[in-house]
Amino acid sequence: MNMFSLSKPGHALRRSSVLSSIFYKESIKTFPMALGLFFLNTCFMIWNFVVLRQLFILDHSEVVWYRVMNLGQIPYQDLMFIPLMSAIAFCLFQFLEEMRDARIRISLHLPCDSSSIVLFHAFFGLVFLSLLFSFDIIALLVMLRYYFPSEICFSAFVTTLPWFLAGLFAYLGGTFVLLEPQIKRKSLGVVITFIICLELLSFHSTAYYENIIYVYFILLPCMFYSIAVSADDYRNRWA
Amino acid sequence: MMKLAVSTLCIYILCVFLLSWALPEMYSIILKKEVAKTALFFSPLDKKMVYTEQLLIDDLQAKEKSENHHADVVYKDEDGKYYTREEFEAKIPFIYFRNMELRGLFPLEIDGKYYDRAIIEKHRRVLELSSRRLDHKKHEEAIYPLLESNPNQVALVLPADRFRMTEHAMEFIDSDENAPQPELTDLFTTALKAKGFVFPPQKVWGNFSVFKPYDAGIFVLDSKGQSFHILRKNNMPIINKLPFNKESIPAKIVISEAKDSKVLGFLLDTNSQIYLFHTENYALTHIPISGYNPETMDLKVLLDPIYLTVIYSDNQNIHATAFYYNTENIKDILVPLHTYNMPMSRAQKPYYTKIAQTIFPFSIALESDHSAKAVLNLKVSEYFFTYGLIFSLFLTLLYNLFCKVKAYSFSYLQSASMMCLGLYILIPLICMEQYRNK
Repeated sequence: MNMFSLSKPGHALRRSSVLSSIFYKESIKTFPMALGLFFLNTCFMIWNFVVLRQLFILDHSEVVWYRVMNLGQIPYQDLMFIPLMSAIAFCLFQFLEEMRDARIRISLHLPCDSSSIVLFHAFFGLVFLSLLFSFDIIALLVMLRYYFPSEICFSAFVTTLPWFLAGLFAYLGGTFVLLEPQIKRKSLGVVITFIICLELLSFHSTAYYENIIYVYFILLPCMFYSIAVSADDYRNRWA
Repeated sequence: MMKLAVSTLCIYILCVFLLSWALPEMYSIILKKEVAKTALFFSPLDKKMVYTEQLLIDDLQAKEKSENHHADVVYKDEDGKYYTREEFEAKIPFIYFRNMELRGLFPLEIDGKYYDRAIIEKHRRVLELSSRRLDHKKHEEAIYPLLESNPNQVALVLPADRFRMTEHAMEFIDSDENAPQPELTDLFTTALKAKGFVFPPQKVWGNFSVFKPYDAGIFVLDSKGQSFHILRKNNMPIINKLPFNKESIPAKIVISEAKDSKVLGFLLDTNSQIYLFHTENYALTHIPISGYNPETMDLKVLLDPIYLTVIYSDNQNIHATAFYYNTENIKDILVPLHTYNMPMSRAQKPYYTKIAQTIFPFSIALESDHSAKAVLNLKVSEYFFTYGLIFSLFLTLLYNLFCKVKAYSFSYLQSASMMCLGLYILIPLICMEQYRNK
């Protein structure tokens, strides 16, 4: 039985069916990329652990602690661009293929408005990236806790949060840009994404964004919801 | 339709926020000349202030004096007289004493007394407190090293442990094992409690470096506002309660250990008063200065063989007061000798600042001179209600002319937002413009 025939009795039921179908379709479609990214991120975290261990082999532990705690050295700095690159790779894999020969329009014919369908797609990506980034953060905190006191774990969390947020913004911005058919709006999407990633990845010092990180959590839903515009433009691109 | 309107609004919010940071920042990178703060000193020869600063606006006399090399750096005194770099250095020999020695000008004779390099080095101190370095404005890992004051060797060494102040104890963590050290924790916690220390402490101050001639230990403010000095000698605690009166609750103690110096550093209290902090008996000498605000001002205390000069500045103005002090008994009351205030060159407004204030109605800065962490600093243009509004009106007219908006579709909301937000809304409006014009 077609799942959409079940969804006729109510709009809410139809929406949830569409949502679950999109999640199912996207999980099958992006599975190889998701697996690849998990593998690459795991490799990177292992590499990070090796680098961290090397610090303690080359120097006395109190000297490494001094460099990290008093001189502001960030031993996990190589992680900075990993979320951004992971997000861009996932975005391209998820949407570039869909945009070829306008395949995504098949999804847009599901019994739900086009904006919601595209937002569901983006939501799937956000959920996956959040899981991936949570894995990265947990791995980082575990390895740091092995060598450092808990204070360093907290500051590492605050320091890396903007890097992971940059990844989420890059994913949403990339989705907007890929879907948007109008060149002017596409350019605006590129500019917005570039600026916000630049802001979040402008390296300063440990826990630099501690006081203002909430602002980016407010902007994240704005960025997510702005994708509805590009979805509508895509649907009406020949109108 | 509603959903589309909300998502369009989201794009505008994002654009305004991001462009109000990015455009002024980009403009500054391309055009703005960043200049450091003016360096102001008290000349022991002329008994007046001399200063050097980088200029934002051309100065012909400065060019002549510099012979066109570093022509934007001026050396002047408070009466407006210009100097060459060498003349300027000669005015403040206690600062440039190495150059004075090289030029064969030692011993210096000032007011009938002679000063050589040894005397100058003995008394010369520079103590600083930047507004960015206040405890609540910087990130600090609250786990500190407590150095061994008697290392039994020439140089100080980092200990293999660090301590954190918890609710009930001074807890030591071993760095090799990354695990607590119960014996050392008990030893120091018991010693602290025996001296009347009440946990949990509020603040910990110290000079956590091994690059100093000796270690003076750390200073801790307990939960009742009492200050304590903790020293680790032969791995045993030496704890002293500081004899501060109840009015001088420290907001910050700046420690700077120097060989043969009677001054340990300075203390900033909760009333923004500054005190010299002496090694002997933890005595305090009040430095009477007015208008100092630690939240927005950087402070420097210079000691030389004759004078103590306090220099403090915000972003625009610099203030300095020179005091006589008795080098034999530095705890004597300080007598103000000369005070001087002046606007710094960085307060000047060259053409590019005026243009920026006209074209950008406001800007968001994430960096601040007064914080070591990112802050959300919204600055409204000084010209917002004058040239800024004219510029925005001009933009609104241009937009309505060239974007071919039909009279009936003229949006008052768009125009009003453009008057307030200027370029920041114009760019997304142009980019989001679409079918309406067909």
